[in-house]
Amino acid sequence: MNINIALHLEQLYESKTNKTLKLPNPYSWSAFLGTNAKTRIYVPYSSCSQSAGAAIVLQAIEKYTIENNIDVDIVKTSCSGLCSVEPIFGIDTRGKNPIFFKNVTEYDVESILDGFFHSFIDVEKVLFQFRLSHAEKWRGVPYPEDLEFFKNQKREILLTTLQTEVLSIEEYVYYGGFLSLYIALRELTQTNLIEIVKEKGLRGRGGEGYLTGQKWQIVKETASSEKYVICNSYESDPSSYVDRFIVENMPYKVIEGIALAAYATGSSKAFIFFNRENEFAIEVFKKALEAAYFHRILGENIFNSGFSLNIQVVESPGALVSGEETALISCIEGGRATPRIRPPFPAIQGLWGKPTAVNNVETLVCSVNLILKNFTYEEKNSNPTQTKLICLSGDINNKGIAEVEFGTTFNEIIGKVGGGITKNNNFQALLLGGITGSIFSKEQLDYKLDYDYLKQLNSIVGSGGFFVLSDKVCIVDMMKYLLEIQSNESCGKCIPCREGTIQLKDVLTQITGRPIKDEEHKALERFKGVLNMENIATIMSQTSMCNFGKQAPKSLISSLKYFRNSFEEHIFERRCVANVCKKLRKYYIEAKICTGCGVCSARCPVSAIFGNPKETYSIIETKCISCGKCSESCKFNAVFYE
Amino acid sequence: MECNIVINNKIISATKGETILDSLQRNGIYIPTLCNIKNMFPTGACRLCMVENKKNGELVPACSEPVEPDMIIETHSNKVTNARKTIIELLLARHPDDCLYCERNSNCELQVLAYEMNVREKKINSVKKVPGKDLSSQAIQRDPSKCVLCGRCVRICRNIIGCNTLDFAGRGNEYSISTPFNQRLNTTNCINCGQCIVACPTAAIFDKNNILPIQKSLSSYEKTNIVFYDPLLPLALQLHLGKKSKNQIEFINGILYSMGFHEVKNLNYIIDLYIIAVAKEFYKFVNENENPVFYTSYCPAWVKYAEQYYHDDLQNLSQIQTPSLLFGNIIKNDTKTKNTNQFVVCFEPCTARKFESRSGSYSESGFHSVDVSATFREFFQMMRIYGIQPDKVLLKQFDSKTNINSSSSILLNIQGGLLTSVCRVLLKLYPNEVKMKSKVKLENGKIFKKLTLKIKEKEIVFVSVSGMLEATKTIDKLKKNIENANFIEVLACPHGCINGGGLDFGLDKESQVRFFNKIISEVDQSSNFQNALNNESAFNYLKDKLENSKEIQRTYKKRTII
Repeated sequence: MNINIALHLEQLYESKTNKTLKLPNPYSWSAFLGTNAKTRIYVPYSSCSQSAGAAIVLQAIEKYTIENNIDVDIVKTSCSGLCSVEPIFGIDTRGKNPIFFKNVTEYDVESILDGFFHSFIDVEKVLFQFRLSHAEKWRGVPYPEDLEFFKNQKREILLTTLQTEVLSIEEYVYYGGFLSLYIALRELTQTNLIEIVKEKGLRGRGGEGYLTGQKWQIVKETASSEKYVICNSYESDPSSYVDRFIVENMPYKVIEGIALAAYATGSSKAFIFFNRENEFAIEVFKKALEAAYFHRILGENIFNSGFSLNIQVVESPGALVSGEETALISCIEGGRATPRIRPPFPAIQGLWGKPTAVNNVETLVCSVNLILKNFTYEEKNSNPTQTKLICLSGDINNKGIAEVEFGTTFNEIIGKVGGGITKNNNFQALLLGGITGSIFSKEQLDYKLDYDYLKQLNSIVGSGGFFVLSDKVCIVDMMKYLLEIQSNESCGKCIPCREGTIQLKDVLTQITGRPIKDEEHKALERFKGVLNMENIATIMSQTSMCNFGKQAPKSLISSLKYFRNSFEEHIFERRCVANVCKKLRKYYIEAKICTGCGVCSARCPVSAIFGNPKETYSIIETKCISCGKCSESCKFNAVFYE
Repeated sequence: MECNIVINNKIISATKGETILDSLQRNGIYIPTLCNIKNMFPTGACRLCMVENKKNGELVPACSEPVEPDMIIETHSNKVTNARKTIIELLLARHPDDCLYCERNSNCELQVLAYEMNVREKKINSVKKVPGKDLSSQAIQRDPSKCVLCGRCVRICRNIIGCNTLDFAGRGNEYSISTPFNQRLNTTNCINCGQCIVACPTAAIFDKNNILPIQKSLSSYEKTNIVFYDPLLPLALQLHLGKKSKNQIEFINGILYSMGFHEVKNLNYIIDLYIIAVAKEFYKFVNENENPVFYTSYCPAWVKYAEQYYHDDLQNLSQIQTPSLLFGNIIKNDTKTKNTNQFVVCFEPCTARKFESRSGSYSESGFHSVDVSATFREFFQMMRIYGIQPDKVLLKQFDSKTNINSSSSILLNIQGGLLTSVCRVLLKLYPNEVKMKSKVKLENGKIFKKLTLKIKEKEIVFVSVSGMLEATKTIDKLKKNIENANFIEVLACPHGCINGGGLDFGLDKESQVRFFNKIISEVDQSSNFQNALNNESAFNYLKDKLENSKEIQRTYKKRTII
């Protein structure tokens, strides 16, 4: 498929000037291709799909088409966002609605394709069909909007997923890509562009929700010989992969967003900062960069406007805190990933002392949509900045990336978009914003996802990671896990964050474990630590230097508030209700079942099991370290724990 | 721009843009700090200087938060003091509890902070850091377990010395200060200047303690213990004791004799001799070279730096042995009293001399011209060990042979001192060949940092630089021909030896430098014996015995570092 990019952009621009601009329906690909259209097989191919098995499925599909001599285009598309049904693939034949299959394995491929080409489909395996005008429907197959996951979302950024080839720049341009940049360079001044962004109220998606237009204006107005734009694609949060998702699925849109920001701020050099571990995202982005340079969308004198831009890919050294904007700048300068004090803010003195706009990937992608919508005739009044990408994970049925409107309550997100809690368990808590996020309890589920609203409640949206905990999870153990990561990933520069995370982790390790030698004064000291926990956490959040340290203890503070029972059970009764803290288990041998074989006694590493052969053995509680070896080794299942 | 801010319910005028800490200090309000270094960009790492912004109830770091008009600040509210106390408690949780055995016991900043914050209880029970001492270096030793990670040493080493020997490594619970590749200090590029020792608030970095060998020798019947000391010691003692007295030199001699030293020698005599020797050497150097670039070698830290990084310039370094080692050589090689049981001790304001005395050119064969080089801190510690009562010390003179010295000798401790004294000697020694360019008078107590003389119609520029980073910048400029200089005096510590690594802890650096500068200048001005050349005995001794002898020569070796 060949379209002349410059020509196409020019045509779109003309129709925009005539106020007749209407972008093609994202699902009208086969209609556009006309008689030349081949059947297309779509395989979402981001790194999460690959880990679910998309690569093997792709191979199987290729093998099938070669063996059966079927002439198709196999297209690596972007993900739908619903990760829990991956790997999926879709078939688009002319005259019929595109149909997608879910949870495919390499062994299913043959039967599904065989069936498809004989007009039979297995309803069990079908995900949904897309609605096309003038095309034949599949009977009994739902549309995306029939599914709970898609019905309750408002998809702006994710609108064009699943049907375009990720790395095809032509397809991107066909659906209106680079038109925002084209319009901006053709007719908008820097001030105009910033005004539009400000007017629509675009807020930074990185965490605190600072107004993007304002940031750009500061950078633009600060006098300097050189200015920089940094696109922050470092996901510092293990429970969220929004940034990676965006880069892998819409790399050209990221490039366009960076270009817009660079134009608005007057920079000619931009950086994109990656987590080194996101290898596939880096690979995809580098390929996209190459294509963009090839088509002269980057480089010198873009679209003959006199504006030049070079984008450099920077890979992080791999510390969680390097996603913090000042730490990130230090990384690019070649230093350690440690935050520095603000003020001066990066917008005034950033990279190499020059004004620097540090923006999140999602913000930049959002700004592209914003400009585009602003000039599209029909949708001029809609505001694409009112949605947020969130990442659903944990004990929730629909895991993946979703896009919801600001103001949606947590209840709606978890119950409707997320499809409820897995295995019919009950909801216990929600961890919003990942490692450094805050914990919400059942009573707070009517809270809304909104920057200002949550800021009033002393928590932040953060990266948008929704980690849902069912009642099978022990909150104390969860806090211990979070603090372990925090104490490893804190940069260590300021005392409260470095020492605080270490001490809190130690306290929690002590209360989730069984003291081996419980001397009196040690028990007292341990108890002192428990009493101090809340104070340390509060001081940490008050005095730490960067947002990592300020936010890190908030989950502990809120869980101490809402799940105090759970903590008290661990401390006073030495009992874990959720049965997660293995070291608190009290093992005993059921006399009726025990045959007296003595295997458990031989296996016990601390010789805590006594007894005579062929008689009932017993466990000495004070010696037991709750390792569970006896329970594992018992062939008669006579070892139980309370 | 002047504005008013409210601090602790009092209206105080401040300048917009300065930090809160600046205005607090100017108005005499004390708040604790740990990581802050005056006149350096704040890092905001310790969070002890937090003050409460009453407008939104948030805690802000005073060291980095700029003043804004109409701020309302509370420096000692309950919230603030609780935060400070908790931070100190957090710091102490993993800090080894061995204050009684610590190098810095009773002059430790962490101790003082814990005392000030009224920390009275061990609230947090945590696993202590395991001591892993690095005792490899001859001058500077480290104990990372006592490190509070304030980063002062790192910033001094990077921004003033420019060696980057110490830097941060690891993150989270493994965050530490480390040498490159975690090498031992003796194999790194450390130049032993000791600025990090003075910067360190705790005993994470300390100098090698040489008191034990001195005590051992003092108590031995076989040894003849000879001691001499840097001319700065009388002034430093004045600061240490906090009172001024006359006859400082006799006073110190008395102290040393009462410690049990057999002979106290006058190092100033040898310094005079050294100045004359350097002046002569430079004159020769100028005559032999078309474009002479001559570096002094008085500072042992600079010498190590040159040996590491300026291999091509080593032949341009002064080849005269430094005064203390030279004196040691003279004492030990004196044929009349040739005695293998001589034990030579030297007190210097310098930690690098410890390294020099062990690895100077003479000591490779196991011969040490100075057996022990100790810092002033060790002198003060020995005063405590030997129970010296300052009021009861008997005043003693030097022996008459070397009693005389010029006031130039003490100038060597300040930046530009060697330059000025060498110029004085040159002008007097070669009155026909060397001329002043301008009509400045050298003998007026003013110390020059830059001076131009005419030697045989050639314009010779004398420059003095201090602070290793500053010095390297100047030298790099010389190499690129941006600047022109022929005689370069390099001192590794900023402001020279009056700010050396061997001086007392806990003193305000700036006022210390100001005090020494003022008093040394006064001493020089009031002296009627300013030119080293007037010390005829030293001049003759140099001419008759020492010139071209092995004792006064020194060699350099090229050091390679990773």
